[in-house]
Amino acid sequence: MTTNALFQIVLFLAVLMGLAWPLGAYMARVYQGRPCGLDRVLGPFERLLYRVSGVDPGREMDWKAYAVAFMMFSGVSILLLYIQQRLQVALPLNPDGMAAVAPDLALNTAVSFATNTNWQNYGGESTMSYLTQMLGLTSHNFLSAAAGMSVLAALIRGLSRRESRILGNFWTDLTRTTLYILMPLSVVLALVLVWQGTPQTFEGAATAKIMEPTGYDNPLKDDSGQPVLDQAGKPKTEPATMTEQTISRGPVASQEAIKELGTNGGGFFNVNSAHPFENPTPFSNFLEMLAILLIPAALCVTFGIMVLDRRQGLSILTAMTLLFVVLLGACLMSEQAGNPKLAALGVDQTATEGAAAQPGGNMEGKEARFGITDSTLFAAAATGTSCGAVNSMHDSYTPLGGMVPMLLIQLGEVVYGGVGSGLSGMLVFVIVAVFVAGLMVGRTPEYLGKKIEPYEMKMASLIILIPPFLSLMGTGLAMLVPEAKAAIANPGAHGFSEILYAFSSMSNNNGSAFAGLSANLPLYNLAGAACMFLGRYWLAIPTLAIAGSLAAKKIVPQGAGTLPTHTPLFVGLLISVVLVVGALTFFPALALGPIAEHLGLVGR
Amino acid sequence: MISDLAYICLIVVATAATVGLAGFFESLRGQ
Repeated sequence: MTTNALFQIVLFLAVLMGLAWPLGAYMARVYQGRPCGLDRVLGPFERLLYRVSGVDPGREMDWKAYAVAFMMFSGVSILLLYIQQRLQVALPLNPDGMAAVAPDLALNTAVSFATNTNWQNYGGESTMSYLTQMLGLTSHNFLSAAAGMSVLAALIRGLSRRESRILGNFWTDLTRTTLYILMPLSVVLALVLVWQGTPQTFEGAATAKIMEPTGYDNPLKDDSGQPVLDQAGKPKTEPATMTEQTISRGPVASQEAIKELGTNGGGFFNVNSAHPFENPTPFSNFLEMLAILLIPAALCVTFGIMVLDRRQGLSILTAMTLLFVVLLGACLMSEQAGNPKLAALGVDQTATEGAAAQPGGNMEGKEARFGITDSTLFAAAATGTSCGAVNSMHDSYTPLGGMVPMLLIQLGEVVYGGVGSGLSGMLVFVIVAVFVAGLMVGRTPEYLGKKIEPYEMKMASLIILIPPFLSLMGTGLAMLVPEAKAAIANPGAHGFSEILYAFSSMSNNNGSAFAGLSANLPLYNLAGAACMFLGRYWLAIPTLAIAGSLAAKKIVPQGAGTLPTHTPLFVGLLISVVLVVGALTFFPALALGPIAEHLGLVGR
Repeated sequence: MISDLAYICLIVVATAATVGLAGFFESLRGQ
C-alpha cells in the first residue's frame, strides 16, 4: 500500500466520522419529533402534506399497521413507475424521443428503483426520458431510501420502548426523512456537483464536431430495422466516417446527489460514476464516496441516542468500520499487486511516487484520474452499502480484488449497509450474536434489556437466510438455462462470477453490476425483479415483526450475567457472526468463481 | 398489452401476498 493510499483512506475515514456524529444527532431529533431547526422553515409544508393526504401525524401504528402502510406504499410505487415507463413516449420532457420501455425491462426497473436496489439493465441516456429520470427514478431514490430509514426508525423504537404496541407512524417517518434529511443534503450536494461540472439541464443531447474524423464499419439494416446478414450469417457493413459526436446530458446533478446519499446507485449514464459528467473531478469523487457512507454511518449514532446509550451505537459503528477497513485493504492490495501473469513476463507493476508518479498495479477498468485507491475505496463503499454506484468496472479487477465487492454484498449489506436497511440488518446480526453468547453461558439472551426469545430468532433466521437463498438459487437457475449462460462475456470461472455477482447484487438490493453480463433478457429481468422484491420486502416485514415483539416486552434490569454489548469483546463476537454466517454461506460458490480464477492465475 | 396486464397483476398479487405475510408472522407469536 502506498503512502498516498494510506493518507487518502485515513483522511476519508476521519472526515466520515467527523460528519457522522453531528448528522446522527440531528437525525435522532428528526425521528424523536423534536425541533431540528429545519422544521421552522419546512414545518408548514410538512403539516400541509399531512392535511392534504389525510394523515394524522399523532396517530401511531402497531407493527402490522406499519408493515401494511410500508407495503402499500411500495406496491403503488412499483405500479406507477411501471406505467410511467410504458407511457413515456406520450409524456412530456422527452426531447430525444425515447420509446416506451419494453415490458419486462420496465418491470425490472420499477422493482429495482422502488426497492432501493437500482439494478440497471438499460443505459439511462439511451432508454429513459427526462421525465422518467426525474419523476420516476429520482423521486424513487428519495422515497425508497426514506422507506428503508422509516423501517429502521420503527426497529429502534421497538428496542427502546417498553410494554408498548406502537412503533410510530410510517407516513410521518417517511415525510420527515424526506423533508428534513434527504432533501436538504441532496440540494447541497447537487449544487456542489454542478459547481464541479456536472450538468443540470432540460436541453436534449448536444452535438459536437470531432477533431479528427474517424472511419468505422456501419452495420446495414433492413426496412424493419433488423441487421442484414451475409451468406455466412454475419452482419453486413459498409464503410462510414464519423464527423460528429452526440453528447448526452440532462438533469444529472440532482439525480447524482440522491443516488449516493440514498445508497441507491442508479446512474444517469450507463457507466455510472465513471462518466465524467456524473463524477467530473477528484473532489466530486471524494464527496460522492462520502455521501454513500455518511447516512449509514450516522444512523449508528442516531441509534445510540435513541436507545439512550451512545456506546451501543459506537460498538456497532466500530464493528462496521473494522470490517470495512480490512476488506478495503484486501481489495486495494490485490489491485496494487497487479497481475501475476504480467509480473512473470517481467512487467514492472510497482507504484512510483513523486514527479514520475504512476499507479502501478492493475489499472484495467479504472479511470486514470481516480487510480487504484479511489477506485477500490469507491467499490468498497458502494458494495458495502447497497449503493450500486461504480466508478470503475469490477469485472476488470483481479480475481481476489473483484471478490471483495462481491463478498461485501454477500455479507448482507451490513458493512455500513444501505440507508436504514444496513443498520437494521446489523441489528439482526446483533440479536443472533447475543443469542449465540446466551447459549454459550446458559442464560436467556437479552439485548438492551429485552429478552431474545424463539420468535425473534425465527424472524432473524429468515432475514439472514433469504438473501443467500435467492442469490444462490438464482445463480444456479441461470447456470442451467443455456440462454442465460450465453449472456456472459467470459467463459469459465470468470463467467460464473459475473452471474453470481448479478444475483448477489439483486438479492441484497445493491444494484451494482460486475459488468460482462448482458442481462437485458426476459429471464434475467423477471428473475431479477423477483429477487429484488423478495430481498427487500420479505426482509422488511420480519424486521418490523421483531420490532413489534421487542416493543411489547418489559425491560429486564441488568445483572451480573448480562452480556455487555458495548465492549471490544462483543464487537469481536459480532464481526465473527457476520463473517461466519455471511462468508461461509457463499464460500462454495466463491470457490467456483473468483477463488478458482485466482488459482488459475497464480498456478503454472 | 397482454404482458402489461400480466405484469400489473403480478405486482398487485406480490404486494398482497407480502401484506399477508405480516398476518402470518403475527400468528406465529406465542407459539
